[in-house]
Amino acid sequence: MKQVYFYKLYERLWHWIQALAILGLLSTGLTIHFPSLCQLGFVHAVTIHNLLGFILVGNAFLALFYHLTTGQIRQYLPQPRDFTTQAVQQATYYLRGIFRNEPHPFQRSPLARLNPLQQITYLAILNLLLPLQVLTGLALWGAQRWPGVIDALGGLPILAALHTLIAWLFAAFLIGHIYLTTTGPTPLSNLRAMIVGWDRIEENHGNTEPQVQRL
Amino acid sequence: MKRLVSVIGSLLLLSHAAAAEKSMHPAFKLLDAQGQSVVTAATPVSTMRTCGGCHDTQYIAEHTDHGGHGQQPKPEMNCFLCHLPNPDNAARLGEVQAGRSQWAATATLATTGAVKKTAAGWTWNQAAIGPDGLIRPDFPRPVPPSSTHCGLCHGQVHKGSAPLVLQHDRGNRITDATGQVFAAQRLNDSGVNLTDKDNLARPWDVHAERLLECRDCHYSLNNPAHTAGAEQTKPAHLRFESRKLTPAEYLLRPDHSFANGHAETKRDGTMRRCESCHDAAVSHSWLPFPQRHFQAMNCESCHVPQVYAPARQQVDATVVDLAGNPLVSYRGISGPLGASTSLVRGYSPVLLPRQETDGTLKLTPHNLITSWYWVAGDASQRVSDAALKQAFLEGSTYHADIVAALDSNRDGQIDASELRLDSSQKVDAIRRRLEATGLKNPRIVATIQPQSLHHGVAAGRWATRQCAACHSRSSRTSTPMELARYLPGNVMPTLASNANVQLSGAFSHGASGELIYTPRPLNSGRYVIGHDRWLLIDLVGLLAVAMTIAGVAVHGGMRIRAARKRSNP
Repeated sequence: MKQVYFYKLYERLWHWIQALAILGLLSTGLTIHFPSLCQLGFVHAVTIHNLLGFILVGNAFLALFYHLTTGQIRQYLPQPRDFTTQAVQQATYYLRGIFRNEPHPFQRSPLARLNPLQQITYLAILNLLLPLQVLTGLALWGAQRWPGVIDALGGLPILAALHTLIAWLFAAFLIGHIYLTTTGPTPLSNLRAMIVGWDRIEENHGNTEPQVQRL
Repeated sequence: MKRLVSVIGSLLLLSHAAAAEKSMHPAFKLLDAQGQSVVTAATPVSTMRTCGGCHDTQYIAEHTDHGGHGQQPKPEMNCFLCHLPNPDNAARLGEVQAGRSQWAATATLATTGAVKKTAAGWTWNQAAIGPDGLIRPDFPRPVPPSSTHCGLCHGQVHKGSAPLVLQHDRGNRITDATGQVFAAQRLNDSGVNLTDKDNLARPWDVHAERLLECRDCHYSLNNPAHTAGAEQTKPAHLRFESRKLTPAEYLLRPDHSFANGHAETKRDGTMRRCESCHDAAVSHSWLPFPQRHFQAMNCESCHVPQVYAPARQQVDATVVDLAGNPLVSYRGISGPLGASTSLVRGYSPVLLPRQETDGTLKLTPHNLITSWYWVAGDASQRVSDAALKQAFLEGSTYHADIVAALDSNRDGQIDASELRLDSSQKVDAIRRRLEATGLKNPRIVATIQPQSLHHGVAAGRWATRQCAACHSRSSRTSTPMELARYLPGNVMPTLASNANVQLSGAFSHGASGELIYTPRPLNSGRYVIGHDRWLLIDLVGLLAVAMTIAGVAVHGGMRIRAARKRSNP
């Protein structure tokens, strides 16, 4: 095992800001959706929700800029070659190998942090769910400024329904995401890596090379 | 300091209002229809002639909604009724009801002392009027119509410090239908037996408290003091329309078609609305998403949060009482209407999407009056009161067939609980009685007539300000309203065809059989955040979260089990 510097300071900062924003958005969103659940008060919940929404959007744009300019964006792009085979390998590991203490099919490295299932999941979240959630959220926030646009998009009943559905899906993703952080060498090693930046990987691993080469 | 300025301002306004009541109107001659002095001719006064000496009464008659359009004014209406400081409306109504409409205008002058009723009829007082018909200096001079004048026919208007007592008679039909009262007096200073009265320190209507009159919003359309009309009709490129009538031109031909909101006339939308005078953006800086709120609802939705007088709820005209009147029940009161011992609770108006003159739908507070009545013939013409009385009554008692049909306990009387058509046998019995009067195919129909509320306005501190009032499960936007305590003839009511609201909610029956309407904003395309939810979306979302938790629990559990097995082979 050797210590590798996985996450730079900005990447960790971005991740945790996003994590806190999403947690805050989900909890305030729940308060707005079910006002009787929380004593925070409707108006406070709306104000905080809007603020966190803009923080999330701002943070996402900064991260996009960072990932584009540093080339890190490629980590999120699944490679068509052997993708299905590798995804099946990863799924098989989660369904069987993990219980037998088999090694991860793909060794993580600073240049290849994500396995094929993570890549496809993030691709869907970052390109579909997040933009849709941001757009519907912006539409709800801006309903008073652009009523015509909002009506053309189906009005609040449709936009709010879509926003709520995606929020539920984000909540489900969050649970899965947090759980999967425990599938590292130790249950807390991935979490620790996202906090301090350093992680431990095996020195020799058969499947590391192809992903590194692709990058 | 603020309070001092406010007091000084109020005093100035009061003095201005007092000055406004002093009339500059010159003396005039009371003339009859032939232009003769009423004193010498001993004839009824003609306002067309009397006022026509200076004003173009023909023009006024052709431009009024308070008389026959394009004809002589209706005999029921006359200039004195709205322009004398203290007209005798009761005497006027007495003449109209007695079929002596030609004397109605003359009777209106009874309080002036110029004329009095004798056994021989109306007699002109020569001490108050000169031989040529010229009024004496102490004769009350015409004034601009005040709210009190409007209140003579439209609804209850109260001025002065005498405790307000609610009136639900013919001349207060708006109050009777909706509970709206136009008065500056505070609720807890009134003579109304109100629930929680001690804490109701708000005026009946804030606009009355701030010295506004009906004419300030329902103004004459060509009154040069009110530029709104000219502003609406000027060419788009003009910033200012200078071509307005001079005061003299206006006084010659004042348009008596008054600005209104929704009367389905060419004057739709001419009335001064809240936003015509108030810049809501300035006074609602505390309100999140103000524009969205203003787009979705009228100001009255929050500023008429509660009505503090009884209002009509159900009119059962399928039967008549011994006086020949339909049965009318009121909401917002415990006990008989008008009894000092009855407790007035008032009611929360129901918020309904109402079509505005620009075509948009905005939530507006309403009272809903549901009426059941008989119609007959192929044209579904409403059965007249006279025909209904003929079918039900025989002199001062019920017809024997009616007693036989409705007297359930066989005591020979029809008490209040029996006087309702709650079975098909009773309906058939009445139908046969109506057919016996010559009516063809009589049947019961029921309609819901929404009455929008624009008076009884509360100032900011008394208005709805809590977000949770609407953005919660028990939202004001879906507060139910009881429509009827029973369904005459078991006929379900439908929305009146002339209504400009949407009834997209649900009808249900209460434990005692009462009919209840519950608005459903979502059904009319309104999503009230915090109140409305799509059940399917939440079920799918919850399922996704639950399945993820279950998956994590199972997977995690299996991992722990596998790890234990490995550590304890």
